[in-house]
Amino acid sequence: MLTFLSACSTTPDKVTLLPDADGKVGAVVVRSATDEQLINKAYAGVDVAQGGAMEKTTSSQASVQTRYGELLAARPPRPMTFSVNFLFDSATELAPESISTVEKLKAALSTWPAPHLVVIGHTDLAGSQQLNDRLSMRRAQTVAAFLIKEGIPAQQIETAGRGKREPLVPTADGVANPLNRRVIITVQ
Amino acid sequence: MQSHAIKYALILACWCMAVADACAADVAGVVKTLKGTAHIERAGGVSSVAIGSEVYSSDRIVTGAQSSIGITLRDNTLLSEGANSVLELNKFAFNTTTYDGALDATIKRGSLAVVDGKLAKANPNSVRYNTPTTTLGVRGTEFIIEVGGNGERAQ
Repeated sequence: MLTFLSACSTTPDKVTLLPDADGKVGAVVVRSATDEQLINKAYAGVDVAQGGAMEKTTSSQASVQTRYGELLAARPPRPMTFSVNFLFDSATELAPESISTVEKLKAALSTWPAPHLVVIGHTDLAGSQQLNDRLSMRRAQTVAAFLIKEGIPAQQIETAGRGKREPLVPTADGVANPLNRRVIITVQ
Repeated sequence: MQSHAIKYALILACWCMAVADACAADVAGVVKTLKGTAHIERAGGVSSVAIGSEVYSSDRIVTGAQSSIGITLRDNTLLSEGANSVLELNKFAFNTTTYDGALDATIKRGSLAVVDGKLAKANPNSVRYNTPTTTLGVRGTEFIIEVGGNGERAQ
């Protein structure tokens, strides 16, 4: 350890793990030419010397704010999501609360820097993947058309269909479930 | 003769639309915050940056003194770069249907804050961040990388 310290007069690279917005903490695996460390606690970190030697560090919210306040303030706004459901088994008729969803969406867009809307359709697990990919895309396009009609510029909107890959309610394959027939609008 | 001209105009129009589509599909992200001065080096040229500027795979994003930039990638990954920083977006690809893709970025100098997006959650092994000395693998999280000293110039 002492030999490492004396060998490295330059400043080390520093990695610091932060808690997510909801307080959860993930993990980062840091690798150099000579060492590897896993960090998985909030404000834990690793210093990596030029030669690759690592030293674990512990920081705090206050010292991270002091050292990296401007960097953190420069982060883009966190993407916001809005959910739109469909009437019955339809790919074209939106549930009545869609109107108020669009009002909330427009309020968010009014202050959003260079807004981009990703409109992703989802299906339940009834039917083949191919069929559901097409159905989910149709749902996304229905919602996109609705948003455009409500005055959101078309060039801000991107559509995609995720088929049955990401059900809101997990079910066995082949099971119909109205809660899984939805479109998620993400504002980026 | 005239019908030929129309035909070529149509072919050209289709070709232009195809090219525009290809470009739209290749956009990796969009600049969302900007303070001070920043520019993007792309294919030998340098372009200035504003909020709304598009970022592409292989771009080199450079900030000046007392400057910062924030970029949202298409998979919801949030990046911010601090002052005197150089970030190379070596590779970015993201499929909105399958969530397959790859993200490889190197912070050569300065500092980078990351909030993981859909790629890191769906497919953590496809996401990698680097410094001149270090490689980071992520498991769905938020973190900061600060490159020591002068970064790439020390290499």
